[in-house]
Amino acid sequence: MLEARDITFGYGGRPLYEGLSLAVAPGERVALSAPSGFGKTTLCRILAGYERPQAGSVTVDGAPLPRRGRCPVQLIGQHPEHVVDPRLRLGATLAEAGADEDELARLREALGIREAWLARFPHELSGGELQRLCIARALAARPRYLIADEVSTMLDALTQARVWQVLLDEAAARDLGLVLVSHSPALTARLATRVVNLAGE
Amino acid sequence: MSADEMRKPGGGSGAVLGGPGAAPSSAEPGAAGAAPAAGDPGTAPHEALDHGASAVHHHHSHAPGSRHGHGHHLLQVEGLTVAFRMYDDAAGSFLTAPQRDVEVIHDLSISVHEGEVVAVVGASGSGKSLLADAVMGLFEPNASVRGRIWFDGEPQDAASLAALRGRGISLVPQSTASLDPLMPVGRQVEGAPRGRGAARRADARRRAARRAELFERYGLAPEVARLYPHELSGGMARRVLLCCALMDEPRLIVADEPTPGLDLPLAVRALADLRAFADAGGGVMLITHDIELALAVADRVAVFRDGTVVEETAVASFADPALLAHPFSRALWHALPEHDFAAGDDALTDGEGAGPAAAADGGLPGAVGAPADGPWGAGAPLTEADVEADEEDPC
Repeated sequence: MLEARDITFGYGGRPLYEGLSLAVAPGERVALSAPSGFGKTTLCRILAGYERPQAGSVTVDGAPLPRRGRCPVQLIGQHPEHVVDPRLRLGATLAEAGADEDELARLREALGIREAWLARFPHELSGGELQRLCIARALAARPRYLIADEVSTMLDALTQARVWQVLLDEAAARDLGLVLVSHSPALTARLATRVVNLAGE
Repeated sequence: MSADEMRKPGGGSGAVLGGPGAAPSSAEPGAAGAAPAAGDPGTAPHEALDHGASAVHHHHSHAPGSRHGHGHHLLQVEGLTVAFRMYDDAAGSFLTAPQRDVEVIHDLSISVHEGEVVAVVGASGSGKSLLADAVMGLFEPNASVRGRIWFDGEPQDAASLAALRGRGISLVPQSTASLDPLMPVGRQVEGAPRGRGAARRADARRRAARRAELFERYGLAPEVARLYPHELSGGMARRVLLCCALMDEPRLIVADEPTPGLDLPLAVRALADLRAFADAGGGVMLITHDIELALAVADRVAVFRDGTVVEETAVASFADPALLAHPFSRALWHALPEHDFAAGDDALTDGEGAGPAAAADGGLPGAVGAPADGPWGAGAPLTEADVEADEEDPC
């Protein structure tokens, strides 16, 4: 169980939220819904350990998120170009996750990542190609929970459907818990097993 | 290599299009209504024809708002081909790599009517922006551009397109970062006055008045003119960009991914101004990867795949896949989350790889439709005919 308990967070000034709680079980697909500017992306970052809440806690099966090393909650964001080292070839970026060669090869195959891309730098791929690489990296880190924050906004409809097919298959095979944010009601209806309205709580 | 090889009509090797009721490349009469006389670079014949009420011509169907003002299209592009000269990265060493032409857009045709928004929908990185560049007469130094473009019935070449830029055809850029961060936005919208002495001062006054009129129309307070771009909200910056585009009273606006990162209701609201411009008789070419957005605001949709437009159709055709002519359009329909959310395992290309770098990949012998690419692969076979075409022209 991924649990956020009584989270308070703000960027100076008024806090974005106070005492916010959320629990996600393995196998669940929870969609977060809130108006623009509420702090959905910030909450995603808190859940994945990128930000520390000012009050409250984030735990996985009762244990807090590790401060170092592999995090059991992996975040896939909206801007893949911001989460890769621009001076690292993509093969090295993918290897960061620490998976073995067979697992990486399997993920590359599933996500259609070509061998040739691994020798390239991030700016030499399109946004959609880079996003697939980031998804492979997140899955290679053997997460228990996956946070998908507008992961397919920059993709055309066909690629979006393909990326989600891979994500859903992997989530089912590994019994992952999934937290997703999407601006598209149709996509949310298609993917989520539960919708949490943050503003209403 | 030449920067612009935009050929005049009748220049010879343009693609033969044609079809029922349309024979644009076979006849080039000198004047409106005159007998066909091939090779004469005068008014294009087809442009001079009154399309009347014919429902389908030029391979596209019409939306209720589509009008043929003066009996022709506002913008017509036919057989547009854009190629880049680049080093062949298949060679072992870049020191000895030979150069070759990589064709990124081939034989593309699209029309924009008065009073309509045409959405060009395709994957990001597939070369849609190159279409915008070609229409604006912006060519990279290593690009070669062929094809025929008519604006308001007049055939255009590279120089005349460049002359129309901002005076007839305006661009709304993708990013609000296109504003100069060091100049108040009012001066950016007004631009530089032309002429000398009293004429220059009169032009400056005219521009200031036009700017004030535009600001009022788009709900920007007069004091906004003195603000710098960083002091504006995203929505205000977007309206300032639109005012820049409208300053010189264009007939056609090319909007290149104008709403990145906005959710659908916000994006539709942001595009309401473009919608109003079209309703007032202008034409809008809206370039986007978001088909949901396109269906929400456009009158017609041009489906862009592998560097060309495979189908131009009214938005109403997306109500039912049976109304869509091309298999790729139908695949898009089925991929929408509100329909089947189908990933198209029948080996449709994702089109992602059509950028110059990836096109080189697709051009490797054996890479086209190779099993390892699966459903992701660029140039994966769609039909038997497509396979053949791909083999001849792997980019």
